Amino acid sequence: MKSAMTSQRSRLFTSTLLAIPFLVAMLFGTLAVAQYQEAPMLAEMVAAGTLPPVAERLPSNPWVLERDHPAWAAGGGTEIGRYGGTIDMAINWFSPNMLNWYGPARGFEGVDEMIGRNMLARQEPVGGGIEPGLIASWEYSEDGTKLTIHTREGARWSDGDPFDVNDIIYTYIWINQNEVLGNDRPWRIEGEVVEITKIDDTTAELTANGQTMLGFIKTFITWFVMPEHLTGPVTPGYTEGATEEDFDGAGDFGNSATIGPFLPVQGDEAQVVYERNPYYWKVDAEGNQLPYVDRVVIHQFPDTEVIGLNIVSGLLDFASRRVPSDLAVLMSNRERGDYDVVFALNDRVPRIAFNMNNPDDVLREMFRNKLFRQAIQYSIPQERIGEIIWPGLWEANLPSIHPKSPFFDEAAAAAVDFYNFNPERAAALFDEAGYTLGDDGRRKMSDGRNVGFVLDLDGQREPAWVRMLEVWQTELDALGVDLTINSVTSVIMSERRDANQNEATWSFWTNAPFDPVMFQPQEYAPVPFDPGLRSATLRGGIPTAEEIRGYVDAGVRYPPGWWPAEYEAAGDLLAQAGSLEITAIDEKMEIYRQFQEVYLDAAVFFTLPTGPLPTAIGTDVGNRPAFGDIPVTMIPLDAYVEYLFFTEPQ
Amino acid sequence: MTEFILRRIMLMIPTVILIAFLVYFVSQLPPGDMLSSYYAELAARGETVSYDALENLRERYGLDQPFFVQFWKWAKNIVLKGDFGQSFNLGRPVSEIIWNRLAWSLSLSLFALVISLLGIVIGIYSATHQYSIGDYVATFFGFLGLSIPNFFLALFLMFIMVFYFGATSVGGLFSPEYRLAPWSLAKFVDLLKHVWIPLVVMGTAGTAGNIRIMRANMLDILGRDFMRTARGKGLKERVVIYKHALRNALQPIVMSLGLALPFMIQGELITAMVIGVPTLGPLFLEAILTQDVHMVAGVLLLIGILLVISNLLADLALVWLDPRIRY
Repeated sequence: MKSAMTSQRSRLFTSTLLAIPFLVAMLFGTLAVAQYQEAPMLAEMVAAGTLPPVAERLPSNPWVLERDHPAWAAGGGTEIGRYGGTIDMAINWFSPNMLNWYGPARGFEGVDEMIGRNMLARQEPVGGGIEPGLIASWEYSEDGTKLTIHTREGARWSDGDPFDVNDIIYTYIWINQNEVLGNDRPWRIEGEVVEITKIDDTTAELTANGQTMLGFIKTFITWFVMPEHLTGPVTPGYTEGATEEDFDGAGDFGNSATIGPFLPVQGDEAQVVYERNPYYWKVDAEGNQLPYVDRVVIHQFPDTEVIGLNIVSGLLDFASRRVPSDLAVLMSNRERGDYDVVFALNDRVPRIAFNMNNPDDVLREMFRNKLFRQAIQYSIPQERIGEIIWPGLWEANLPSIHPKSPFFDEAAAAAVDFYNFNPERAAALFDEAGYTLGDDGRRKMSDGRNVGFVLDLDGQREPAWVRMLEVWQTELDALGVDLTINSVTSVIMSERRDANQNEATWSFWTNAPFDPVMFQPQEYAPVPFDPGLRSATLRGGIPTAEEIRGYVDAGVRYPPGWWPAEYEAAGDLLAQAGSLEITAIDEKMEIYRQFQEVYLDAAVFFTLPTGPLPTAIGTDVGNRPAFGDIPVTMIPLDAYVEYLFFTEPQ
Repeated sequence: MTEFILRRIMLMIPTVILIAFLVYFVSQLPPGDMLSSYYAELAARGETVSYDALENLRERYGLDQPFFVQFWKWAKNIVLKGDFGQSFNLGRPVSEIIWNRLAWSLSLSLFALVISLLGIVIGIYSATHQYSIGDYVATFFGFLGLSIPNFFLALFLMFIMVFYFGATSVGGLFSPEYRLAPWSLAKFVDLLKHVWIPLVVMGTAGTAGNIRIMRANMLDILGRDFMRTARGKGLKERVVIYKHALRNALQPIVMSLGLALPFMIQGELITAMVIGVPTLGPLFLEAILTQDVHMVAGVLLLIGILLVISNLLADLALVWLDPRIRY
């Protein structure tokens, strides 16, 4: 620890920003709580001799939930909770890995948050920093080409087996890159594979053949580590004779382990019960081992109306709605169901993009016309759409850098004025682009066909989305443009996209404020859904100009001119910013400002307004985080369930 | 008779083979496969997975092989091992999931069927007391039962339970605390408290339909000449109705029973979706949406087999009911 601190000081010298995670780590490392308390249900097991005492179960330096944790700062800090109770939540889809989370679909669902994801490190909900988890501290070498991680000493899996870097290396090599299991996902930086080298049981070094590792710690936030002691014996290749069937069969109830606060212990497709992890490595400010609640039960109700009824009936303690279509019902029955309604941050922004490479020459020419796209942007009645779905709560979304980001440039955003519905401006732009009105009141393309496009979306997922588009449809119609709403299943949507048959596609973009220090362009710069872009969107990133050139060189995916020039210009700016030193904040600011101008002007894609997610939470649930700042998904599992408690005995 | 039954059973074998081929063919028809739907799902959630990983999975599940090879593998495992394949979506053997759900589907459907037989009695009463108050009441409820959509009735009943009876949870067949508990008297009582909603919903439409069919048939039969003959030769009214009229009027209903079993398994789908009952219906729908081929084909095959069996049973019942039928 001593030598690590010395090297940390030298980092502090070069970059104060970089040091934030280390400061946090130091704080947690030195704060020693002499006495630990545990839940009564665990104390009974200790008394019966079936579980070691709490001090032996916790790591030597447990993670401490500070009174002034930023996620609770708005509400006056965290409280010391009381043990016991069951939190009931609901979902309306079924996740296979709720039953078998080592299976083929492992690691992709919201449920993971409770059992593994966010556990090695976590994005701070407010402020954009990274909070240490089971990776208790980390440091980068002077030249940034090496990342050294230190796991929490004495940490254990929920079955008592030690957790250390062996689990991390095992997962990286034998799960992520196991071709028998259908995985081929080594981490890459600029094409170079990341190598992990074990130094000792709690220390490992990560390098990528000389590439910069700065910011790479972020990878561990969403990464899912597997228990080597349990799955190792059934991992093909790792253990002689183990087959994929052996592996798929592992991880059932009673045979799984977690590093998260809860472990699935029982369940079927309709209900899964999670119980506290007796070895969970977090304590509160007074040394009480977390989590506070004994159990979390996730109910599956296929019909969202039934979820609503069960909020009112009082069954559910914590439930979020995707759109507030039943806000009035929720609000007027708060007393009956003993719940409060809070509004959680909604960071999923609907975006619509044209297929710039549609095989129809005339259509393609139209989609690639910047003036046409700008006209489309002005034709969206943001306010009317917002008021229909989110009365009084909606916000317009700018298809650019998030307004909460330090790189957001208000002047650049205001100059484009895209927030405002402006049919006159739209009509003028259509005219200027050459799509003038015909005698029948419809705008005409160069070959005489009516101006219009088919918009694909997965409307069965949420009928409200179709209603939003219908409002826009009437405005476009008045402008002489035909919008055809094509509500299909997600499969047909992606098939149409792959076959390059789509004209415009609806998707979602996670519009989160990004971290100024560890900025990675793909974190926020959204990509329109072009079929050829599929592999880029699969990675969740915008292809840099360099990547595009690489594809063009390879001669397959991106023929010259695949992108309109203004897209390329934006991509170039991002690549330029990405190549800068991490500390060159001022230069980056300038590039991002330019990027915003170019990107917004290019009208790369269109966003619809959104509002917060009404979330019902039991009146007796304490330690609620600042929901307005924290994105809460359909099941609010990543909303800090391990810190919630019941203020009344259950 | 024995020969007839044997012959029918022998005929069932090629029928089922043909059904198996057709269902596998049909379940492969939609564009894409379960992995493309899996990918679409991930993309919709903003998750990432590499193209190579998808291709590897495709290979692993044999999705890259020609249709006949896939079908042969699937059919061979069913015949030789009773193995319907692995559900991609649930990561478990299809047969394990289906049997569990089939038990619920069949028992709920059978109970609903029994409830709907009440419609026959009401239909007889309605016909024999034509244009009486009772007839009007029965006809009114018959039309009501036929015209209220199942999903609406289910939501309405649950709404009543929450808002007027203060239920602490609705949906499903058990209260949350009993759902995963082992069977006990208390759990059974809890089941009774919940199961009436799906039974009422599923039974209502059938009952109403039976009232209408039975009433029309009876009225038709009651006007026939042989009825007058029966009455004319001095038979008691009870015998006239139950021995002569009823036996003739029942025929269409018995014939429709052949479709009842598979129909009810599909028919409960919407009800089960809304209420959240762990039957085959919702499983089937989910499997179709996610293109879980083995699951879709497994459920379809099962429904096909049920159709064949219940047709046989209905034919036997008809033979017993109507001696004029030759076999």
